[in-house]
Amino acid sequence: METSIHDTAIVDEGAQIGEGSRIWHWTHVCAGAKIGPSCSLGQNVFIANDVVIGRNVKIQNNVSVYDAVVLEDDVFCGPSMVFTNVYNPRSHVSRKDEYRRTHVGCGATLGANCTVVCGVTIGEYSFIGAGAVVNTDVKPYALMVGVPARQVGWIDRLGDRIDLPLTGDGMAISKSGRERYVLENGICQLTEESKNG
Amino acid sequence: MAEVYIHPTAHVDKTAKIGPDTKVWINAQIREGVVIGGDCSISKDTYIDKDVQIGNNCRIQNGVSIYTGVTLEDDILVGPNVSFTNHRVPRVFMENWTIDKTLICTGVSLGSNSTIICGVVIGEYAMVAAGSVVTKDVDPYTLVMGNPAMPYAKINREGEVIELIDQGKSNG
Repeated sequence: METSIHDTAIVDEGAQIGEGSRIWHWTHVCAGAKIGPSCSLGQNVFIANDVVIGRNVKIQNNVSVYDAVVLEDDVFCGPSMVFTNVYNPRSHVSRKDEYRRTHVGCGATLGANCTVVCGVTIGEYSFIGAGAVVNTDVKPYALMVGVPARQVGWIDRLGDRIDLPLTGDGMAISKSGRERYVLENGICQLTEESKNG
Repeated sequence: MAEVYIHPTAHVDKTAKIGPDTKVWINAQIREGVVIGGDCSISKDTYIDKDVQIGNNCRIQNGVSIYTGVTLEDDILVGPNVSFTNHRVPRVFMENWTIDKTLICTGVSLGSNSTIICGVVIGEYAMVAAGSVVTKDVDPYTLVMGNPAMPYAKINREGEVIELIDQGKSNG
């Protein structure tokens, strides 16, 4: 698919946009932004300069991706969700040299209207519930809900729950039957053979 | 009967049907097959997805996204930056995007920045407090709040509290 930029979108000169990405109404991409191929940026999205976005990332309406945010491949940002980059903003204090970096791992889902407080790493394929407020690092495959966000379970690559305890060790097969997840000392991982299969 | 007003910056698809006296404001987008009743206000930056149906006398405030599968009856207030959804577990690389339907009944008010997870029915004249996350059905004439939203009080059409709901007894 060809890259498409809607007539009303503003893409500043120098911005890198991968092949097949689509940029919709009234969206603004700043000059320093790097956006991979096959992405979709919805209505009213804002991408700042110091932002790197991987391939096949879907950003829904009204999301602002501010400086110091990195989104890896296949990340989903729900409508009106919020990133930040200053932890303790005061209008009368300049904190442009105090940005805290936010890193969102491959395949993660950030639910509608959720808030990601800056300085955290969100693990691959984790799932942040709608309206949640994340202010700590999130483990890969963790399902997080509430304010502040707490882990309530594990979720697989397709978005089905993984039947494992929050702590300790264990093993579970995904609902699809195609993937095997191993929990070791409270860390959930997809087994290598599942990744390759 | 006054005509529809559409601000010059708004994008309204030619297949959308919009009732009399409805106003569509700056940078709003209304997509293919949408049906909106009369006397509505569609405020700045709003996005109304394909085939969404909205009744009469609804007030959609700034920055609201209403996705396919959501239906709004009459006399509904949608506060600023309210987000709807239409898929419970979105993953970008999924191929089969099934849509879960959401119904907002007559007279409902959805508070600012609240989030409505798809697949629910919000009963008539119910009210959702600002910032709440609605995860399941809401009974008619009920005020819910929090994340997840829990029943807080029985209210009347005007939104006045009639009786508080005992949190221990509620099945919310």
